[in-house]
Amino acid sequence: MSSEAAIAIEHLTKEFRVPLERTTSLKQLAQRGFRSGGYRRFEALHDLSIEIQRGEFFSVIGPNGSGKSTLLKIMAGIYRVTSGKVTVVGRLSPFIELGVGFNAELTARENIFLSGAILGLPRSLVADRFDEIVRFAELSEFIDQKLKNYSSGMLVRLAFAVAIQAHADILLVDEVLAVGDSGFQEKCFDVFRRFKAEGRTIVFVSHDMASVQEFSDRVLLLDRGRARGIFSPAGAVVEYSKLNEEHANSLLRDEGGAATPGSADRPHIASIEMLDGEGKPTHAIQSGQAATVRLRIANPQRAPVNAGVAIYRDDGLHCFGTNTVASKASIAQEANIVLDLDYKCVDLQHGTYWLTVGLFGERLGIVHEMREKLYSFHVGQSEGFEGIVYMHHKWRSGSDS
Amino acid sequence: MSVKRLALQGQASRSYGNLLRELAITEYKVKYQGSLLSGYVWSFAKPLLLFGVLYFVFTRFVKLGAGVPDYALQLLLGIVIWSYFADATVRGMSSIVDRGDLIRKVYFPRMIIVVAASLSSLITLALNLVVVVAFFLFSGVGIHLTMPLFLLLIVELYALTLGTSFLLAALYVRFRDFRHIWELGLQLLFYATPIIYPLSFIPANWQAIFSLNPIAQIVQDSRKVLISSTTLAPLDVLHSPLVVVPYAIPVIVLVLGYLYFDHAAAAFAEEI
Repeated sequence: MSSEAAIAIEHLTKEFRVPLERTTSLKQLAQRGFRSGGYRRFEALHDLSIEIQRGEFFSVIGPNGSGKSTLLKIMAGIYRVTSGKVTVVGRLSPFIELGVGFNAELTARENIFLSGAILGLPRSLVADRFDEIVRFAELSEFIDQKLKNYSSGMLVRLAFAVAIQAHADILLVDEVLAVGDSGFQEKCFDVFRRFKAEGRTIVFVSHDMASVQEFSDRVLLLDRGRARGIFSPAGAVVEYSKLNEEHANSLLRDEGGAATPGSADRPHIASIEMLDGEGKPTHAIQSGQAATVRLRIANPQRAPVNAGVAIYRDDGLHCFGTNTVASKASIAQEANIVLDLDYKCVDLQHGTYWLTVGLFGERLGIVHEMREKLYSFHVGQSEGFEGIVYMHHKWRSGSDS
Repeated sequence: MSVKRLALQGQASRSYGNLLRELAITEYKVKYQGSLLSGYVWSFAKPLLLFGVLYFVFTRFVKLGAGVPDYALQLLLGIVIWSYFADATVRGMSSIVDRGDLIRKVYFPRMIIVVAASLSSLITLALNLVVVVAFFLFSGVGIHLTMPLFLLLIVELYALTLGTSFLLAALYVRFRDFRHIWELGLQLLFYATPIIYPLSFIPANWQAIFSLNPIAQIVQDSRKVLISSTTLAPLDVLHSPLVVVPYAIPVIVLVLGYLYFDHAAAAFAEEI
């Protein structure tokens, strides 16, 4: 490991033994006779080697179940390694999620001290910074209320305000910014910028590609426990979308092949891709560009079929939806259909988006297939504009007479 | 294969003492949270009620305590010691499983949770002993020179309780049966311990066997040093080398309990 490394991981493999029948009673244990066995091995991480440099903002992304949180927990010392070596140089923040150990029955004031203790801070230090924490969380009027009366947004603010007090060279951060209004998010980002400037190492696990892109120095993409590679933030976004597409299409293939008789006869989606203005498959487009969603539909019975495509932002906001019924478009009644949906210009702002696709019968009431989050794509940064969509506009001025 | 941690030079170690304190206080606060009377009142209520009922039954109907000097005080002291052991071990047993949220998400020495649970029960014991002292003042039992020895017995009681809690907490993560097993065990132990009845009521050849039980030893020794020097303590009943047994058990339980807990702790996060 190099002298500048904060965390060095060599050939890390983590295996969970999932009991086929969990032995939680002595009777079962007696029957089995204390033999170990009846385990299914599940490899959460496989032969992973990475080196995180001191002062680096290192992000870990990947689909659900790819091993992101397991990796973070191994770094924190919560999980044991099965094989391999993990070396941590410096002081590590012990928290993985915000608000761990909060007690709903206690007041916010009491919880600040409790939470500080869990972070390993001495009581005197928490007392010194108490006002600062409350001010940051913007909760001074509610500080003596019990936590059970707090909204989720208030909880996150309080948790974050305490967590940033952790005396650590290395911070492990898992999915923090899911809640909270945009004003508070901006404050959190300011803290990240400050930590970066102070040369602290941050390991960040998130689904929010916008913040991953904004802060990361390097990004590790995990896929089912294996490293897909370490990328630049921009590269990672594209790789991530590619990975999602592979998963979606392999899922479509598997289910198409293994479908039960009867359901195999129904129209189903065989593949999906997004093409840019020049007809090349893509996962990253610029705001304002043309794009095409190409669906291949298998329809062995040549039944009447309609399709719908909806665009969701990755925080779940429904941005735009269209279907062939509303658009009065007809679909050829073939056994294998290619259906193109051309967007003249994608006027979405910077962010990660998902396509949800549905196949219907003659009416939208007859649902043949509904696929949520089937395909993801990314819209690149645009200069100076804000919000969800790009509104075509121009400014005019004259003298007010 | 391991997770190695190289601390940078000049760094103070993390303040686990504060965590221990906060967890113990939180547990004590939360136990009586949302109750009408303050937690302190309820801390007294349980052993006092048990005492009241037993005292009434065994002095009015069953004349068990009739010939025993200061029976009320003897009974109360026995119940207070027993309640601490029973209460603390039950809570210690489930402490790790109950704090699964912390274990799965934060790294810190796992034993802190068990120690915190045992300390919060110790607060209750301290408050109950205040009641015992009040009874003392009313009962007119004189001051004995042996009274400071009681502190040593409390240390022994704490060691036994903590060791048992370590053992049970680690076992309970794997086998949820232990909740029931320990309930039965406690019931058995309650009647095997001279709390309601004086040890002198038992046939002489059984007295030695009963005295091997460390709880019985702590109860009897406490009565001897605090109330009446005529109480039959293990030193009076057991002959060497057997007399060592009740005093050695708490130490052995603490060491074995800690070793087993320490061995099992690394896997808690994955097993809860």
